Amino acid sequence: MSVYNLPLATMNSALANSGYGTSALPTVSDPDKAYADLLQQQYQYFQDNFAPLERQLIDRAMSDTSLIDRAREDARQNRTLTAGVMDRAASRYGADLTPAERRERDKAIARGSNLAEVGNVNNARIAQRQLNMSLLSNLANIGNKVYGDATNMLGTAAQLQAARDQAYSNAKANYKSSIWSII
Amino acid sequence: MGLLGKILGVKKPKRSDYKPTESEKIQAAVASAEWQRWTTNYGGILPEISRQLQQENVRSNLRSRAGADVMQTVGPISLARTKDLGFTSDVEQARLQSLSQADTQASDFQNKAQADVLAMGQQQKSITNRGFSQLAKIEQGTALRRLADEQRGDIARANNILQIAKSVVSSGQSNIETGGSFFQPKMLDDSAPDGKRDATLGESAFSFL
Repeated sequence: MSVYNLPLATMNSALANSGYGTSALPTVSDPDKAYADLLQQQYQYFQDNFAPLERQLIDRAMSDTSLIDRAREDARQNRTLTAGVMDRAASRYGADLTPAERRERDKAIARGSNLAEVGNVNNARIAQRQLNMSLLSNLANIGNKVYGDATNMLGTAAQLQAARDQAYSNAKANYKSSIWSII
Repeated sequence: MGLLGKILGVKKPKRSDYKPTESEKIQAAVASAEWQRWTTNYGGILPEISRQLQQENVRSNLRSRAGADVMQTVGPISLARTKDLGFTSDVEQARLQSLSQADTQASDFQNKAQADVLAMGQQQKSITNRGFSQLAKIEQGTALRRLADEQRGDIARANNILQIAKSVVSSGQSNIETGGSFFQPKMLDDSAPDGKRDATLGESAFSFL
């Protein structure tokens, strides 16, 4: 049963049973200030923990080419790597390639590697674009919420300004009418 | 002001009469405890996930697994295969493709996970922002009500002062009309014979001043 449904008389014991004994509860002498402090801390928490990540993700979504770069780099490295794998396999059998065989093999590897690099880099370009777009779309959703928050907050600020202006105007009118009614 | 209030039977508000009720105190204390509980138990979770995602080398893990998987699929390389140029080329292409796929998957995972963390952080900030708006409304309401109360008080005071001043002027005029001074009326001696009444000064209407 929720403590909020209990009458006040039994609330303390209910709180104690739920691990929120009043003795363990902090004393809040100024809830207004506590609320303001909490909000400021929370805002700072976001700034410290998520603002750098936000910037980093936006930069990444706008300019990441790591897949393409790596595809090129892999193609270059793979050429030597595959040759090494074949050499090691051959040496395990005690076999050795003649210089002519080695030349042909290296040519085949280079040919395959060039073709693979072209295909791979093209695939990487498409994959990179999809990934960047997907990340951008996720960020845009987050951005929409930021936009919504900012708009709402500015709306509230405008309402408050209007209310303050209205109160000032009312106070002036009230002052005038009161002065005239007194006289 | 306090003395006047006592005379008129109006009770002066005391700060102690406006102390929070027990339920208000409990509500604020539970809210504060909940906040502390969130800070202790949950506040560190998202930053920790974010930190782990930054440090975790998903790409490297997937790539090494992809390389091993290709070689496992290819199977043992026989002597004949070491000289098979088509086979060498196929292995190379398979390795490149699997590495590229591993890169794509790693980036996709990292992007989505980090965007999720950011979205959750943004949700928390959104709640904070609503709180800021609420706080601003509360504070403004309090400030405007205080100003309105002050103005009502000032006007009431001015009204009373003017009423008193009007009474004073009115009494003074009455005094003058009797032939007395502004502050003292001229009284007729009722005991004197008709026509020979001596005018005496009465008690000042302003003696209380």
